[in-house]
Amino acid sequence: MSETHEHQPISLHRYANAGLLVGALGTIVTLAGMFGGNKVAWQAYLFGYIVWASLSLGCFGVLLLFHTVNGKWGLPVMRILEAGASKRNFGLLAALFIPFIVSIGRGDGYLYKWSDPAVKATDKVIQFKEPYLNLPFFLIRAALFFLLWMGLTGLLRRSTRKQDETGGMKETDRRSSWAAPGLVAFVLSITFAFTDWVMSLEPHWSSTIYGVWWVVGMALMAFAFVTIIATLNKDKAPYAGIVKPSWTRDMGNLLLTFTMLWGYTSLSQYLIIWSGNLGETISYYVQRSNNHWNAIGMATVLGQFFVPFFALLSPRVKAQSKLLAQICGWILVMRLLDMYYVVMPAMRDLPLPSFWDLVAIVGIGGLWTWAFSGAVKEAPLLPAYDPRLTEVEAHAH
Amino acid sequence: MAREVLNDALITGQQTYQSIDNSIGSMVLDPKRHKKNWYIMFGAAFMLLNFFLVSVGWLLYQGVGVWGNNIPTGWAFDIINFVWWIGIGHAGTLISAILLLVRQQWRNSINRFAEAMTLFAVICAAQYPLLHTGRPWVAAYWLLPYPNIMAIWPQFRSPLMWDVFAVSTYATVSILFWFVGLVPDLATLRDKATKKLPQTIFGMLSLGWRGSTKHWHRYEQAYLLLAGLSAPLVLSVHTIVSYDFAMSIVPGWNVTVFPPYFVAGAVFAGFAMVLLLALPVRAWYGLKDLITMRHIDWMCKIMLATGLIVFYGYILEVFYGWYSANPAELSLVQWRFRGPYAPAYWMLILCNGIIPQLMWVPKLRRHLPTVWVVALVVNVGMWLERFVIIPMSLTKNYLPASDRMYYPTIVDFTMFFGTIGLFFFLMWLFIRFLPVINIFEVKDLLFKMKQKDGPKETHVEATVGVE
Repeated sequence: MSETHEHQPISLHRYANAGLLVGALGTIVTLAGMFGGNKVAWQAYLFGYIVWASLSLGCFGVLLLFHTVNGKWGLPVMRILEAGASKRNFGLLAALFIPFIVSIGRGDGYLYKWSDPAVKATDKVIQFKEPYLNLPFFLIRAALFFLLWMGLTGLLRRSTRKQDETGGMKETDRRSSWAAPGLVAFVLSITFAFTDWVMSLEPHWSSTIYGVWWVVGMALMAFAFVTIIATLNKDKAPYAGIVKPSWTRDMGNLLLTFTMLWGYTSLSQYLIIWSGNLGETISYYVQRSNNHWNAIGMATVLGQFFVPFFALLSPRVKAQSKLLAQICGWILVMRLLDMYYVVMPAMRDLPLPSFWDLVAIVGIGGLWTWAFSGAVKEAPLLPAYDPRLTEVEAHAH
Repeated sequence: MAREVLNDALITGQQTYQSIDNSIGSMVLDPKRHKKNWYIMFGAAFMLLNFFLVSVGWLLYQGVGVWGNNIPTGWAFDIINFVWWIGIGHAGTLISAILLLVRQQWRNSINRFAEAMTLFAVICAAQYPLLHTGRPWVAAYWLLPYPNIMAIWPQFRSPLMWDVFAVSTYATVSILFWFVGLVPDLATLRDKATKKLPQTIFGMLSLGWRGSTKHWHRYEQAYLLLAGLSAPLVLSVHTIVSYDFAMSIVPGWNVTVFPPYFVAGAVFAGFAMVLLLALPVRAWYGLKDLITMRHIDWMCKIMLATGLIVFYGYILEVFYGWYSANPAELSLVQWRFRGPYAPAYWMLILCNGIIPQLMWVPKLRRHLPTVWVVALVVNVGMWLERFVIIPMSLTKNYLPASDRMYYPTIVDFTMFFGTIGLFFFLMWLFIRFLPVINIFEVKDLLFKMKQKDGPKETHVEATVGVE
């Protein structure tokens, strides 16, 4: 920390105003399109929402993992994770959730076909699932998820802030005993949230690995997000002296692990469904191989797995912040493409992106950045309490 | 601070390099270290082994009809036990390879033990695919793809074929890894031995190891390479075992979460087995300073974490069984909940879902009888899991007309208990004739601890290393 004065300080919150402006504008335009009856705008909004929600949730999952295992790797980026998963961001996401409720309530079927009474009247499977897929229960579940996430993230944040003042390791131990059951609750909540929000877009289809797949994907996204921030600012205070090869190697290995897990879960799901070839499950991949969707699928196989996999195997890439930052950027782009491949074919037959997609994702992203900036400004970027942080510093030569 | 003390507790007591050599090495060189317990356990294992031999004899004489397998339950105890044993082996590979790669020092005193367990578990597992052919002497002919003039090949699209490759690779790499890790310790034993016979045997096995810098350098490289090779095997073997089921369309088998859920279950059972064996051994042979409470605490935590993943799998099976709205899946969920085998299902939930939750409590993780009982319960639970997945799904199919109950026979049971005998028979021989704890790695750890914290805190006396 002694190097603080010598380096220009990092300001992660400098995009707050721009974010608010762009975000408000983009979101308002999208909402106007949606409520003007444009179906494509609805689809774009859902996609944009899922992307930013999974970034926040990914940050939250990684934060819980860090507090559970207490690895040294998480100390430099803990505050960024906290900000990404802040109560503000979850609050924002909860507010942005309202249009989905409206759509389901109106039964327009723009997004969720199961909510359309006309579809339901003739569809036996949807009728069967009604005890689960209905507006009140859907709403209650979403409310419970947001309450859980906001409550738990608030608890962890209060504890690290308190420890900044009081020091000592008591809070660390207390947090790990909270974070472990928190992680369990997190995985369960993600499983059901993404079953509700994304899987039920195709109401006939189901897959048991789906929740695991999302957890892995969002964690990968969050690792790439925090690593790119830290590595790009490695010469600025407080990261100077902390972001060193020993740390980037750890992060590189974590990124490699989650890249492999992504490949593992994606391949398992594909292979098992392809091999079974049962009507109700294969429909998912039939839809995603027709109309050139398979080109995007192949691109994710290469881009989300093989490229980062081989790049991250190399110790040289992991030792150089600049190279690692580039890989992280690549991973983030691929996450976007991969989520597009998972979410969009449920609503669109052609893989063509539209103008609305851009407006919605930038709009929601702007608001997300604004909320993130607010949270990141509240606390010092490095936790002051942990003696291991100086160890990280000393270790990193 | 409190956490430092816990970290240092990887080795406790007044230890020197000499004392470590003695406390581990003398288990091999001094028969007096083996008290009554060893003879009782070895005798019991040998008796069970005879169950195995008699059952196999009967099986070969009569044919596989002595088992309870029928149509539609063509797979039963043979594959349940195969999967159970293969799973148990996984802790060894995880401890040896993955914990080495992620630089977890607490692996050092339990890895040898766990690796041996892996090998013996694979040996037990291998009995079933060989014997279920009814003609094990020609099994290689059916299992392995070899070029022949009739151009007949096994079905490469079958996951059972992938299993042959996965398991044989696993066995090969595990043996190499275990043996390479043993070489420096075998050399220590060769040097310590006073009698001619052990000197000759250990001398041959230690491959001329002299402990030169060059030797160590090569050794470290080879060991790391083997670790890198083994690490993916932890995932791949049980993934492919799960494909044996998931690639088919039997209700309850075509489940996409099977691969990670099977891998977690394997590690879960494996850690339970390590605890089940390590707790008595450390008590009987006075190894409490080397396998410390810190190790046990960590193993309990891993058991808990993997157990939670398995429990998550059970929840998913039930929820998506319903959510799929598929009549076959639905009736399977009903069959598990309320069918004639329902007690097995509920016992499974109790053993793998409820009881391991005790491990959340730090006090219970330190209470050894509780840990031991939980480990035992988990091993029973993991066996039940395979029973629930395999015969219970096969007895309930798409066509109600093909439903038929499955009952194991006495030979099914004697063969299963027989392999437990085989496992323990090998395990007790290992405890008698090879160093159960990695001597040089513990010494290395002791050295590092001394370097890090100074002699005062860690009770390390500065002595000259004996190599």
